[in-house]
Amino acid sequence: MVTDLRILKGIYNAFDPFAPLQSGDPVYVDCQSVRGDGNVLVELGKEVLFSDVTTYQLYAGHKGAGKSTELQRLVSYLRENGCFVVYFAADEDDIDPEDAQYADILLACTRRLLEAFKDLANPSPLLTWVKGRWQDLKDLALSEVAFDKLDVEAQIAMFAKLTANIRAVPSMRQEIRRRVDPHTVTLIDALNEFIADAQKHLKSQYDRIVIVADNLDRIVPTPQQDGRSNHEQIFIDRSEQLKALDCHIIYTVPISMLFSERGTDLRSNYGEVQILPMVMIQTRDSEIYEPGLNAMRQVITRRVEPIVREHGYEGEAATVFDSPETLDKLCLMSGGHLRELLLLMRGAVKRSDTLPISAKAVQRSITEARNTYRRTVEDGQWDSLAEVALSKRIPNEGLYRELLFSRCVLEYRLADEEVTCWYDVHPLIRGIEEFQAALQRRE
Amino acid sequence: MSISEVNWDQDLEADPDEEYQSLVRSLRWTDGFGLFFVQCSPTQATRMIDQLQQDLRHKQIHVVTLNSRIDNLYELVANLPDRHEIEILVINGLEESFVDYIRPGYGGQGDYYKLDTVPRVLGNLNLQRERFRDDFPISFVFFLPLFGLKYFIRRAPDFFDWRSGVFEFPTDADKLLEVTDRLFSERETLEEYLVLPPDERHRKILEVEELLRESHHPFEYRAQLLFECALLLDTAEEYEAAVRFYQQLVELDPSQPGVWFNYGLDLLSLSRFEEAMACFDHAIAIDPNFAEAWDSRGIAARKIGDYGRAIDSYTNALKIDPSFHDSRYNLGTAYLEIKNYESALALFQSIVAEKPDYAPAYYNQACIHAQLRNIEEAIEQLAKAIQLNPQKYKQLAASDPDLALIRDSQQFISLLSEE
Repeated sequence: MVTDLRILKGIYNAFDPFAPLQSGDPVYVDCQSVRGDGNVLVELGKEVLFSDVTTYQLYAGHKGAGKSTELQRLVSYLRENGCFVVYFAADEDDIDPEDAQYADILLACTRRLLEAFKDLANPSPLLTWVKGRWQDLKDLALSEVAFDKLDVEAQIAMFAKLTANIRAVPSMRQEIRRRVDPHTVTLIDALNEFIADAQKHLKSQYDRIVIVADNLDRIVPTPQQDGRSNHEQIFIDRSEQLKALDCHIIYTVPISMLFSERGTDLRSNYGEVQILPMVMIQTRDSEIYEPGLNAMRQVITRRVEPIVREHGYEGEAATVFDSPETLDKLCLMSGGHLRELLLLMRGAVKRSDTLPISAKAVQRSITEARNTYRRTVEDGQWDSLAEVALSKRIPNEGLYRELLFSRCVLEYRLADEEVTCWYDVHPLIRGIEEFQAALQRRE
Repeated sequence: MSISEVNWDQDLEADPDEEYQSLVRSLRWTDGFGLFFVQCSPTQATRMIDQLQQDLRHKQIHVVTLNSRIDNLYELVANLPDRHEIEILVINGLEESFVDYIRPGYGGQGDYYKLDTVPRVLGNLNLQRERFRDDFPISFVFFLPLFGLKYFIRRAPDFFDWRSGVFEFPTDADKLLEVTDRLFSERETLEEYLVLPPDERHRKILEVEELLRESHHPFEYRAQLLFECALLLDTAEEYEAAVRFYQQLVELDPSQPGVWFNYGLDLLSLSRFEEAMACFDHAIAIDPNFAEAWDSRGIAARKIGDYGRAIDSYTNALKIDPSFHDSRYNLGTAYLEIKNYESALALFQSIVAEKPDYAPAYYNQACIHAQLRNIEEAIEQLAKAIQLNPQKYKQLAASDPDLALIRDSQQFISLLSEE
């Protein structure tokens, strides 16, 4: 009993939903073959390494599908291959949570580049830029000091403060943008000078600079006055600015972006967008797909194994469940979505006080997760979900974009002779009465 | 039951004790960062927080109760005294920071949470989750009502995605029934709602609406929730929204005359007179002694110009309740409008004989006398009305076409110019 509880506690903590795996972690399961054979190292990484011109690429995927984990691998890969990588996960210091705009992203890149290169490159072009605007901007930095009087270190700090204030003082936000916006072109010029200087100093060691801007999919979509989403305004309308920096950049974007009415504009601006699809646990015809299911089982057992070993538990890791079917159902209900799988597993463990983990505990965990989906879907969306379930396709409409964003609809890919792609509703949604009713109306 | 007989699409809800136990267990097992969401009513929250403090005595628990809006939870946590000692931080009332952003959907219009704004506190959280994880080795427990949780899921999806679990304690059905039971039996309860401050009413509408969205409620309970929601909207003068709830309500249970009556009143306010009439007809068919319903039916009929039915309705109301002065006044007004001045005068006179402070009855008498060119009497009655409510009747008299014939008289001019 006591050992059971210790094992359960250990397992519970091995399924943290908030710790992306670092590159090289032994519990990482390579799901490439069951994710439509996409490989971020090949698709994004090779593009950076082989291209003669600077590349601007987009990387999309459902929340919690493993994007950050894959990007961590990409970062190591690029570093091993001679790139100087500035990776950052945008946070609320970078992006205005209520009203994100492209300038936020540009300034975030600026700030991170400054931090990364402050000992390497001459920051004077950037500081000259600030100096030129100082009369205009100093009240925004909440500072009365003369910029010239500051040493370089302090000037950089002041610059950081300036960009941070764009977020911190909401009442001033519009005003700040109004003053900075006309100068973004000169800011980009200054940044490029700075990058060029960094490049010169890096030459001996690194042959290219890459920015990986993660978490940009964290910008919550909000409809704008013109009826489009802020995502479109940022990534499409301002693509020229987002592509203006003289270094390779990989931006993460929300998966729903790809289904924008201007998806073709997106592709012509950034090239083919790399997508991390779900692990394919079912075929298009809703048959269980054994290799995918097996990958999901491994995600579980690899994390369980060290715990059971440590406590001298006898038997395979999979036997912490009362039957193979219980484990399989847990995997299938995740829809091939990794964070969902972790959440379902945690939910089942916390509802257990002895081993093995019972079907009942898993069922309760499934109910908890299903309730979340029940609450995510809006009244008018059930019919659209039924449509996806029947056709396995999504029409290019705003409504379906939201469903992708909220993970109610999932994307799958199968690499056979060529890659085919389809959509399905999240398996947790299938059990919801409103969905069943909508399905019956369709059939 | 063997496992292959389990229906995995079927929900298996935990009972509240089990649910509480798994909350306690998860908190015990978590060393450091974690996000826990507890969905329950504010009353349940208070009780459960006490219980948690007892059951997890070996953990350092700190409770933050928020009564007003905040923008940045990170800063609030960072500035807590003794922050480094806290192991479990309970946050109760975060919904206060975004309740104003939620527009109620008013009966399944589907725009419930579709917003063009993200509340600052949630927008921040959505972007701050890494900083929470990296800077605070604390288990956060958010207590939220159902509408709050739902809004959280939609507006801070990434933060929510890092949760260690959602623990649900459905609102105690009996508690709510107690209130709505009273609402059903006493029409006066509406008054209670009239005094609710708007923000509290808003919150209440959200709570009730959310309960309605849960599909599993038994029939009576659902009916009462619908009624409660409609009444709340009535007091907010959101008649169009209220009407949608009444509509659902009468579909569900057409046997309540009070419901038909309220439904009709809202339709009257929306100038949908024919439909209002039909509602009052329903109310009367169920309860022929429902004097207010007869009276309101009279109003609806008058508005469509069906004076025969109007007079008939008022007469019935008065038969049931002879002391129903408003209805007698309405009947008088109907006679006035069809120029049956004699009957009208008799009714208005009988009202003021019993109720000398019934100003509109004087005013209407003035109108009749003016039409009949009895200038002296018209002025006399108008003076009585003005004495009771100078502002209202001076203003009315200044432009009322019914008084056109006396407006040039010296007495009229001096009456209106009196201070």
